[in-house]
Amino acid sequence: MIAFAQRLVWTLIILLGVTWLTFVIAFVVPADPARTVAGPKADRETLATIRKDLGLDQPVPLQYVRYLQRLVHGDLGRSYLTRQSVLQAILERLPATAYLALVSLLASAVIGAAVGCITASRHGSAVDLGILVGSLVVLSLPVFWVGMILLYVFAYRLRLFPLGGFGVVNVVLPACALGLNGAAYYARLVHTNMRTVLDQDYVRTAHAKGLTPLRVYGKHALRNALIPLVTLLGLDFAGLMSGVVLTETVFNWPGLGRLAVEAVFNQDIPMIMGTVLFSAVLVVGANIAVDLLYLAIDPRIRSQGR
Amino acid sequence: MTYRLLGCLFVVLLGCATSPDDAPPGPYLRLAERDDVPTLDPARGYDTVSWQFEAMLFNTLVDYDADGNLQGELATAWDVSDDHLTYTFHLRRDVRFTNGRPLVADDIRYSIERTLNPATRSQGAEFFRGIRGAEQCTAAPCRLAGIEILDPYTVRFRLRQFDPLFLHKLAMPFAAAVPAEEVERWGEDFARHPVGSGPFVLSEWAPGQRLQLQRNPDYFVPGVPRLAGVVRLVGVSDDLAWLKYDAGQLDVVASIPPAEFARLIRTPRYQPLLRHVTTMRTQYIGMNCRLQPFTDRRVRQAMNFAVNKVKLLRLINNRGTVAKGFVPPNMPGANPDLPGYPFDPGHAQRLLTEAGYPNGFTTMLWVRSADDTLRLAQSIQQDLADVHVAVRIKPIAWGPFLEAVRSPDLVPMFLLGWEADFPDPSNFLEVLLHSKYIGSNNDTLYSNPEVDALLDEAAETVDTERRLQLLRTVELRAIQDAPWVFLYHPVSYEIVQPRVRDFRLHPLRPARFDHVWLADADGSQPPLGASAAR
Amino acid sequence: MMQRGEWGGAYLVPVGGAMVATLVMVALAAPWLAPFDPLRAVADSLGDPFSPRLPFVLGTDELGRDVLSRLLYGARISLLVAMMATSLAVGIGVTVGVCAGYFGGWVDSVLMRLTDVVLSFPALLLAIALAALFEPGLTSIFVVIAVVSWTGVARTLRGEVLSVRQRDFITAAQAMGATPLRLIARHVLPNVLPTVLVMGALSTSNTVLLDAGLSYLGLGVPVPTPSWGRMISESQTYYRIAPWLMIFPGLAIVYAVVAFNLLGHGLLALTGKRDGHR
Repeated sequence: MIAFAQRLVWTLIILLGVTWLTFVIAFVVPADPARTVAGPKADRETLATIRKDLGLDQPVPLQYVRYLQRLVHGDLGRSYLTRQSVLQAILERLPATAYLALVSLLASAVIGAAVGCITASRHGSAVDLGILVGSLVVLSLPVFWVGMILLYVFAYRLRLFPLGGFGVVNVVLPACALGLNGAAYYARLVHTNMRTVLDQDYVRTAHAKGLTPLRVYGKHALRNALIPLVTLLGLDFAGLMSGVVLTETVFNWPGLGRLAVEAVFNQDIPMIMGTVLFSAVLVVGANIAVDLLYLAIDPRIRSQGR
Repeated sequence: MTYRLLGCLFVVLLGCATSPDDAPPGPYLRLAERDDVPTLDPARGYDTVSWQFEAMLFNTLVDYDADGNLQGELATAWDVSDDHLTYTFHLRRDVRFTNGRPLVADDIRYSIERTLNPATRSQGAEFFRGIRGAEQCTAAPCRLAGIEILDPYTVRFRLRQFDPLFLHKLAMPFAAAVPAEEVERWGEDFARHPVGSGPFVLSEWAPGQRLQLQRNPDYFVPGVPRLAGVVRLVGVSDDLAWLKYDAGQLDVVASIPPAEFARLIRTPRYQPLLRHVTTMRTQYIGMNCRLQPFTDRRVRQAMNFAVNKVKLLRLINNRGTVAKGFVPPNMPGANPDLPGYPFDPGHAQRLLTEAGYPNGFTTMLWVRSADDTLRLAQSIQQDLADVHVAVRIKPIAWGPFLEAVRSPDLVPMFLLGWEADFPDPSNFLEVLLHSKYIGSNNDTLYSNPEVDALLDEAAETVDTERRLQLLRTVELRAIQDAPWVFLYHPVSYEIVQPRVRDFRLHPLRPARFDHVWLADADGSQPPLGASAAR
Repeated sequence: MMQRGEWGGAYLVPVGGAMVATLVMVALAAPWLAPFDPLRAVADSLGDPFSPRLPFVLGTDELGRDVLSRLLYGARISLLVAMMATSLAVGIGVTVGVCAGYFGGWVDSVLMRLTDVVLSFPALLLAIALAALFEPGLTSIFVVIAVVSWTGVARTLRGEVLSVRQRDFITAAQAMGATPLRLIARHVLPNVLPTVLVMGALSTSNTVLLDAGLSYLGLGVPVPTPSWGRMISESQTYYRIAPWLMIFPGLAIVYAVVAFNLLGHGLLALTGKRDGHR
């Protein structure tokens, strides 16, 4: 319990650190922060008003405090282009990204578990080396390239899926592209775990006793395969978000990633910094959530720096 | 707990994901584009997409027919005084707004005053400043002394000075008739809830998803429109739009992807379905006449000789014609015998040496960040490298691009296009070349007192022939001064389904739908009254 | 995740090493290997790319440029960016990790929290934000990629230094009055060198991917310098009639990343050190 409380305190400190780093990038480093907020078309009066509102003539620590105050009120600024509140734009796009992320985690788990189980049934270090190399190759594939190939083969050539865009069925291809990385990690995890389990005495005994492979696998092996699933979920949420940016661009998926890329394309600084901050907060949130899950599932697990 | 949440999320998303391919029953014309319509407020829109839909929802006093000639729309006839300063329009008596109220002369006055009103922030205000009393329109609302209502169906305009383009200005959506009570009722939201007198009515607009128009059964032209409505999907990329068209799910594709175009043009099946028109647009490279080395005319001319324009056309699948000057050849009053600049790198090299740059120089070409413009820029970069001019390409988003081009000392070369608002050469030559427009549309900061004088004289010449002659002289002079590298005039290609009939492209305005109809399988027109029953 | 010396992973070193060496040699020899100038139109395929045929072994693009030549020159750029960025990232990471591990106490706490903060930002997202705020160009690409990539190195190095620090010869040297700088330079660094090499190889594979992603989004080296990621994004307009424009640059990226990954994991197995969190 104490460890959990400690973790919580550290998380808050990290959140503060995240806001501080975003603040520095957005307001301290640029030559004219008022212009980055107001946009290239703003006239002198607007710039002066913004300078006063943001307190840009005050010392940096005070500016930071005002920045935090604005954050607490949910004010992430307004987009140059649409004049829409950044937070509102992000929240509008969040469900699409959440949907994609969830389905891709599902895809990772399913594909990874399948591959891991199948290969675990074979013995030998050649297979183990094969899994390692195979997963390394899969991890080396650029996600946007995989996405384009999936689009070309399954959507254009075979007409099995729609060509990008948002929809219930449309999520399959981008989720597969995004989930491939996770699937590779998960396959290795499952493979290792299953091998360890299968090598244990009680399993061999079960075999000897004549229990069918299905029962052997089903009862013991699979349960052990599920524990690393939690590891998978929290394994690389930041990496997942990076993948989301590219996947959404390839598949024209209307989520946070596309929002960020469009903001960069239009040099819409408030929107860029808003999405960066928001996703960092999501990552921190996901990490603490995974820690909670760990403690809930197996209080004996104490991970040291994951 | 997580499963329940997931389940809920799934169901919610399932519900939200309405299939975008459901078209309503009846002969609806199906379109799709990547970007949403920016606005439907005629005073605000200043882009092809907004104009296309505003033209379907509203009417103007006059409008262009299929051949580009002005004809009356709300006006049945008009008189012009001998001094060309007074225009009197006689309106039709059978026009109603879609809220039921008849359209009268006062609505015309209200609409133009609204456009001039600074609170509306209309970019069309500048076009009506020639009306007497417009200079007093600095605060809301304003009453123009120059617009008189003689009776409910007669409106008279008095101008401060001669304006050969005044009728054309009244054909712009900025002059469309809007009902005052609806504008007051909706305020800023009028852009999303437009009420007009046009052939169509807005029936649904889900932002970012689809826009749907329905036919106006009380439209004053009998038998028009011949469609039950128009559906426009949003968020559909060019590639996807093409595939949908091929699968029979779309009726019109306005931007045919380059990858497909090369194939289409050679396939007999598609040829009768293609529609094309030479636009009144010129693509060019602007050179800042106040930045070295472009201050020297010889350098600018050398750039013109160095760029291979035919090669550029091949990059865009020959969807264009080489530009020999500023004004597109299909513009009324255009000069058919322009010299232009043929491709001659040797001559370019000689000119550069003469100007003192035997080993060339380094410069930066600013372009809008998009695959097609970057491709053109790279071809141009190669051509200029052959005459030792090292060009760095700077891709930049549209908004910041325009801002930068307007700053006087920042941008040495830029890739841009100019499209005519009116079918008159002055719309190119005066706006882009007169020194008084520096800081506005004269992006090359070109200034030639002789040209200014000729343009001023042309603006006051009533005799059309003489005026066009003056403008031709201006163009020839300016071509010699070469503030631009003249690239090409785009040819617009669209493709339609076989069932789409009477769909015609217009050189100056977006395609209209009021006369388009969709044929049944046997080639006949389905009755529109039965559409609801289907 | 990976146990020490398992699965004969050491076999990966010669394979990975050979792949990396080939890549480096090809990149260095590109001006001689490339059959054509990568920036010029050498084929009459404007607007209509040529499929692979002689003499354009991998086909041409829509501007008439030879794909093979562009791939070879692209290797130079990708390698240059990857190696510069990785060197910088490793430099930062080693400094942070060694300081944290050696000095411990509040230095360790602060540096590790800083690492956690940077790790909370999705790497690509932070990279595109930085690239958008500051002018994109060759130098800023290294810096941007390095700034988002140093954290894994720092974490791993810290762990290594912590374990080295416990060893007797360190305590002995301290007793003899050696300054921290001397101790670090003479005793700590040489002992962590194998880990640095492993992290270097693994980091390079990441930076190649990150650079490819940035180029794909248009934030990499400026046009018309060939860059694999950019070639893929340019291929999107024509990929339906010219899929080779998309396939070959992708294969090149995969090759480079796999090469460094195999090398890195092989070295990992060889040195028997624990894999740090990436």
